[in-house]
Amino acid sequence: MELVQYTNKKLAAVLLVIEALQSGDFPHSHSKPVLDRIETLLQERVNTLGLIQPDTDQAVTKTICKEILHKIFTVYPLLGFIARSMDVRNSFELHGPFLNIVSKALGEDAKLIISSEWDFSPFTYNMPGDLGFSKVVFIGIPVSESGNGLAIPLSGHELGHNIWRAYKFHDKYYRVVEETVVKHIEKVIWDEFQQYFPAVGAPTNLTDMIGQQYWLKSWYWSMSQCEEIFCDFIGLLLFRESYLHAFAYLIAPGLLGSRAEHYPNMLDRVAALRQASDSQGIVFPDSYANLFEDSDTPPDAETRLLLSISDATTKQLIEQLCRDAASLLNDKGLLAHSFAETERIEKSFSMGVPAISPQSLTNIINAAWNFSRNAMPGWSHRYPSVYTNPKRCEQMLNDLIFKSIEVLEINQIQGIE
Amino acid sequence: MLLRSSTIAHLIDDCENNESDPLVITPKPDTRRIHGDSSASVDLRLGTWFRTERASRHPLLDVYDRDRLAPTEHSITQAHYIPFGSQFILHPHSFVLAVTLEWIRLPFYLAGMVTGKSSWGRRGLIIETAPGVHPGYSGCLTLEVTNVGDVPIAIKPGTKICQIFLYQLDGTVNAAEGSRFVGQRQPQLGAISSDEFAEKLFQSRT
Repeated sequence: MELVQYTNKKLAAVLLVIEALQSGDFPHSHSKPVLDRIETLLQERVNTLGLIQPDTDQAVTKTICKEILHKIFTVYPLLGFIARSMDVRNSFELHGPFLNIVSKALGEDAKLIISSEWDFSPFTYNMPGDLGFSKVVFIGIPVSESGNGLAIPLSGHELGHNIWRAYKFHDKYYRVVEETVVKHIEKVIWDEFQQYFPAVGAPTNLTDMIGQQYWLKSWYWSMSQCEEIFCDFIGLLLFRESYLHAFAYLIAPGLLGSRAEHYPNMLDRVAALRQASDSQGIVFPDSYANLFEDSDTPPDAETRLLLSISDATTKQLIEQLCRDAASLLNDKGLLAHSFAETERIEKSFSMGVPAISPQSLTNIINAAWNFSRNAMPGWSHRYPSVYTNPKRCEQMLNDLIFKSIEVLEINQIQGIE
Repeated sequence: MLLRSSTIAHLIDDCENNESDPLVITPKPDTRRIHGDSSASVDLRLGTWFRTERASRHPLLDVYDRDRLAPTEHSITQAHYIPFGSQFILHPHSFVLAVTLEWIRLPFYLAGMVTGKSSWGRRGLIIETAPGVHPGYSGCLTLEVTNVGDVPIAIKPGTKICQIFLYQLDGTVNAAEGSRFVGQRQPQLGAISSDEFAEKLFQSRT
């Protein structure tokens, strides 16, 4: 019974943390039902433990305790995420207008929790279905950027992962990627492939159970790369030019070290953004690609070969991924952009005031990026004390962004178009 | 000269056509209603950000002690965000910095005076003790809100909490030099500045 006592004690400790969090000062209500759900899940485990008797089979007891430990392990980072969602450095004003986008994309019952994370990459949780969080979008923004209005477009990429999952794009691309991988090996690099994997014998064996094992990694990496590209397209189409700037701001020129196979190579990713921008009328900055650099290739030749297959496969699917992202956002009425309104908001920023009656988050963020990249036109004579102080400049622009977003939310609540 | 509400409404409606020196209030008040109003002010609403004092390890609030570094805004106060639909409870005899929901930009020929609303004052809620707004100011207005009554008072973002009277200057301030008066979207303590005159007095015995 020692194992049961240990497990019970751990559960009780986590439940105590949840109780403390439930009484927290949550700025938005969506964290509460998630906490309640986690509490229910763990309480059910407490009840299960109560059923274990001294004569219960040890193997059964261990299995139950393992499952409980796994559950605690799974929800633990989520509890930290929710705790940090209360931090006042977060972009609280973003919640309403971004929830509006999330609801249009995933349904009216979708929930949104935005948090600041001690992780440099923005991320979203892909929670297991049995936790019941399929309609909850968790978006973690690096702690130092969580109050930066210009970084908001990066949330679009993270929403993309939720869209990919909700609309089962994994299932859609599963076969497509497989066929493209096999075709590429067969038609383009068969000789080289055979040198590394002679056991495959002939191209016709590539699709049998044994042959598949040799290119499975390529398929797996390409699936992941396709998801990343799709998410870039969601961010790009939702936030247009501002996504390109936010993307470059955060990750250009790229990270040191060997590249992560699950991501497209940096220059391929940028090329994909260019392709999608051109097809959607998004202005792609001239020297944009020069900001980036590819990461180092993997040291071993076999991985390089398999990765080249993934890269080639992903490249072939870029057009289709862009079409899918555009079609979904178009169907959901999420391609809200107006050059005229963006220009109007830029004029407001130039006067040192927020947008008067903004129509969309996209226009606000694009106006802010244009204004920032043009070195705050108008401020040198209107607000010289601010203009000569870069820190105050950033602060004032940030305030204008978030006040504009709040005005947008107010207009949405009031039904003002 | 004190501006009538209808004049203020006209200036607000015209703000997007006046790119040189507009009066801006956003979110925009209902100017149709203000036009028909016979008063001489515009109501302002309570915003979503608050700042309370907090217990800290600083023995006292000594803004003069430059050598030992005066406590920063973050070390002696705490920010709170209250979204629309929620409320802030102001307990008896306690004080909070709040902010107007509206971002205001005054032209260089107008100055403003902010006062509380009598309906709140009669319930013990006193708003704004430093009411002057300078020409050219741009930002939300920080409000000092105190509950001098004996019962807790709930206040919700969006509530009409104070009003601004606008006065025309006898001439204009030097607009060509731009504005020094810039606010933020969150309430702020602001710096307590000293000057040569005061410094001489402070140092007279040392």
